[in-house]
Amino acid sequence: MTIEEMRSSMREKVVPEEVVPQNVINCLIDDEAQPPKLDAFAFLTRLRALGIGSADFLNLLQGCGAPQSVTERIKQNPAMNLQGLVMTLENSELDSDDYTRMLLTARQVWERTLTMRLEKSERLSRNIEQLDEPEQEPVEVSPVIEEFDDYDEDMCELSFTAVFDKINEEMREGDDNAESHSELADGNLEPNECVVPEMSAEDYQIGATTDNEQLTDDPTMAEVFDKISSELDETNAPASNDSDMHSGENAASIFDEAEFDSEEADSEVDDDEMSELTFTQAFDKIKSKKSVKNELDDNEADSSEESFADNSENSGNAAVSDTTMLVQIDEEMLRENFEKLAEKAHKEKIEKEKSEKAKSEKVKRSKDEKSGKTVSEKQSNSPKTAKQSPAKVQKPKEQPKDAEPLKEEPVEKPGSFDENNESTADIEERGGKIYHKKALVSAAVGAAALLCAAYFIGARVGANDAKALHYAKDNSEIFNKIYEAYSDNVPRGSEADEVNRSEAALFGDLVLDSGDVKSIGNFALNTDVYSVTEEAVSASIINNGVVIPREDIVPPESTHFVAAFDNNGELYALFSGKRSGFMKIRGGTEDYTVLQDGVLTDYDFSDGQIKLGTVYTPIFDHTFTLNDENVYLPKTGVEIEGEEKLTSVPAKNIIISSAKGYSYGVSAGYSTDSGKTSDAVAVMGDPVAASADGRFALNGNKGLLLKAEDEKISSQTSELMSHAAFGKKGCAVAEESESGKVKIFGDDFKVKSMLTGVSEKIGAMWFNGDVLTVTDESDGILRVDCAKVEAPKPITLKMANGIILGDSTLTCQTQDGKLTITRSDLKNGVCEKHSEYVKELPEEQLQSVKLGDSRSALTDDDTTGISYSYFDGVSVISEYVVFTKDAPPKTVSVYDDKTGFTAAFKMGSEINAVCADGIKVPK
Amino acid sequence: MDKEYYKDLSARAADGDAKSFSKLYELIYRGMYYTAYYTLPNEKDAVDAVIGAARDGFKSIGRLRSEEAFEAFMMKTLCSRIKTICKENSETSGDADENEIKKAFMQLEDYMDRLCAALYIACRLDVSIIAAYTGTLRGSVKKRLSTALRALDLE
Repeated sequence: MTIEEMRSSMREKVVPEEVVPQNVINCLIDDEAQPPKLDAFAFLTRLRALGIGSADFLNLLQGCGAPQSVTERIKQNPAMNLQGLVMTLENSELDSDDYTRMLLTARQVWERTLTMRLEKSERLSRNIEQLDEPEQEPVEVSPVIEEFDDYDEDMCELSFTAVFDKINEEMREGDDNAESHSELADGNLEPNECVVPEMSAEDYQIGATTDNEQLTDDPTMAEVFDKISSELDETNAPASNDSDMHSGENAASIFDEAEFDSEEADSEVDDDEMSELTFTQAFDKIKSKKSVKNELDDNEADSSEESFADNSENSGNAAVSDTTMLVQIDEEMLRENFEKLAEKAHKEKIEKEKSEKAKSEKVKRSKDEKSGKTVSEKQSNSPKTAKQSPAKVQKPKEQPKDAEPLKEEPVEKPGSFDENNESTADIEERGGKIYHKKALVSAAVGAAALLCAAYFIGARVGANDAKALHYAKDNSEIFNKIYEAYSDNVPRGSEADEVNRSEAALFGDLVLDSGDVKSIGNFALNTDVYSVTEEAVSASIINNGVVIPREDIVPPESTHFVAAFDNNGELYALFSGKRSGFMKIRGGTEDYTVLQDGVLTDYDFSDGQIKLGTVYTPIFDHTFTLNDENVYLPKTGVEIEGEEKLTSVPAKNIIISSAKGYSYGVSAGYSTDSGKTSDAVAVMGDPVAASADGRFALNGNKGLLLKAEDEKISSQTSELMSHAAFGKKGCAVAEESESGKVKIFGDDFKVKSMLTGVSEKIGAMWFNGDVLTVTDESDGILRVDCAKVEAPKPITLKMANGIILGDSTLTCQTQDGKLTITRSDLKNGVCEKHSEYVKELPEEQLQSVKLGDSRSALTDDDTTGISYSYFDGVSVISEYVVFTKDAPPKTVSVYDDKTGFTAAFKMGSEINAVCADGIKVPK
Repeated sequence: MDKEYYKDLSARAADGDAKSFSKLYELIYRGMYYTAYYTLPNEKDAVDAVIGAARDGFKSIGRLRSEEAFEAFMMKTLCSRIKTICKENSETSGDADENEIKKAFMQLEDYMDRLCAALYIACRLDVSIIAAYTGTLRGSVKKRLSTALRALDLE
């Protein structure tokens, strides 16, 4: 055995399902994940990926023992679409094991197809090499002729019947067949078994033409499957006839993967005809005209092979019925495009026909001289040959008239894809694998058509991005768009900028060092004390002077707290991540949790409502059956006592456009009383940011800012955006084309001002009220007061050591022999000093000062309480201080207390501080 | 695959995009599987090796120095996995229904011989690349291949 033979045998082993990319991707995301069980949708999708045609699909079902009712139903419903097929399969007795078995069969067929192509190409290559040798004696040449003849009969005249007989034989006989192959290779067979001595050079020539033609059609999935399925039919199920298959073909039109129809390829394609064609038909016609293949390089061709099948499937659906229209294509535009292509193809065909005619005459003359048979006889036996492969007979034209046909043909013959040799050489040189040629050719044609279609469609969409905005009619419209995104592998959209993404805690013009865990704020609300960090809300309740710690309140899974504020003694902690929302907390426990899909890009609290703006990208983790129409819609709702009550944003509230993308910008308001959703609106596409009040920034062919107000949509185009953020009076946009600049748009979406010199690598951008925060990838922070959008004012930031207390902050400074604790309240985006406490300390002690536990800090309108500690050289002194604007401060100290002051609460007008030693009241 | 597209996919995969990674993986998974299948005694181990290599590769693709070296990166990861499995399960018996070629491979006692032969035959790799993937010297690979090809009765 040679290495090549062993390689080919080794590769006959079917790769198990577990390691195919579709299954491995799940394992990548979750180490514990098992390959998913196949359902009807996944099964159909995978079949389609393998290029299984409709007729084969039926054969597969029959061959693998699907109930007859299923196959009959599919046959009898020619207009059945994917969803119909899914429903039919789901309602049958077929289970995931059946799907797996059928898929395995299909995969076997597919892999065998590849193997056959490889074998065939290698045979051809060998034959080329042998036939290229000019000095071969006729006797030495005969095995080569025999091989071609053998090839001719087995691989061409009988299409794949003989090939499959061989494969089936191999399957049955195992090693015996392998031996016979090696015998064949060694030339050990008896002459009468493999040689056709009577085959003359002329026969060979004509035969070669036939070979060429037939070889043009590499084994398609359908052809290969026919054979395997017929074997299955013999053993498992009644054989299906051709008419059955045809009806099935119509029925399962979703699987029409543009199989090459040789009859159709034969027919002329004229302009008029093209203008009448549907997308699918035109596509097939164009495909049969391989003249456009040279327009693409093989890379494009390779990658487009699958898209070709996919697209033609989709368009096939579109032709079937409106409900199956998964790809919406501007037919007018396409027709124009195809007309151009068809015109070009037509001209080329005429030229080819002319040259073919001339060649045929030459061949005829040559044959008349060397053989008793006439060309016309031969041609009458193989009418397709002359018609289908006009280019094949070009080669002799270039040769001297008296040249030996035997020497000419082998050069021409292996280029058996009705292409000229130049093209063959090109592909061989680039890929080094001749057996890819057919795939490259067909894919190139497909890619050419797709490229043109995509260009025209894209141009059209680009011009109408804004105009095409409309509210969805129903869920199906959105569902189709989602499915289209899934089918076309539309990449995930832009990553949205989460609010308060900065590592540091920001408060007005202060950048507060919060330590390892980002502190969001401390709140003392009546008898409840809360400390909010990214990870949790720590709550304590003061009851009759006793501090009762409560369990930490953590945000939902895969989220983190980003902001918190209080209102009427209740705490609202907003979170973001996989989902966004807020928790209403009172009495130290969670009252309810509002949930909204997506990353939080904006929030607002006003009029008893908390409004959230999120950007949500669904994950394709469900099937696409009718039952799943709502699965990929954004959801909002409330969770009370562990029970989620989520509803999808109604389709009539979702704006869609023609731009690609399956992410949503979502804006919704929630009542603070009950968490009930109101005013939910969403936009579908590739959103960059969503405001809390129904404004969105999204990318399409260009950038688009839009506002949904009642049923009115107002919009403004811009350049493509890398980042966007919405404030109360406008929005800020960083455009992809202009790095280092941020444009400030007014409420009317007109540019009012521009920030320059911003970091070229913006990390995130968001508004807090009127203050725009821009961070860069190296944690640089820029804050700009955009209260006046025409004249934004950069805020000079100050680093400080301190804590945030709702709308106030307490910072601590130690310099000039003094400890200064300053309370500042937020006004107009900057901190304004409210009151301060100053204490003189020796320099050594000053250096040891630390602010106390943040939970011990509290503020009200006038009074501020906070603890701090320092080392006096002998003991650690923990001191709690209460200070106001005017009155002298009150303090209380403890020495070497185990915990220091850990909490504080207000009792009447007095603040009580809690330490390990008990409750202390500053005097 | 277009070179730029390939690089783009590599970059995306390095950023943790599983979909991009799976597209790249699609280009090489058959070679990976055949290497594992003909080196390891049983198929389950081969599947585990490939999936494990894919996981390892995905987790550490951020360390990929050149975007164009994805295949080498993955094959090295796989070879490393295969070696580990072979060392841990030195006495694992083969599958009952294995094909003739697998049986012939299993006649090679040294798993490194099988690995080199599988890479050489199934993946069409040359000696220097096999040496790089398996972390052995070229001379050693040549010797192993010589042994293996003779044992497999290959011309």
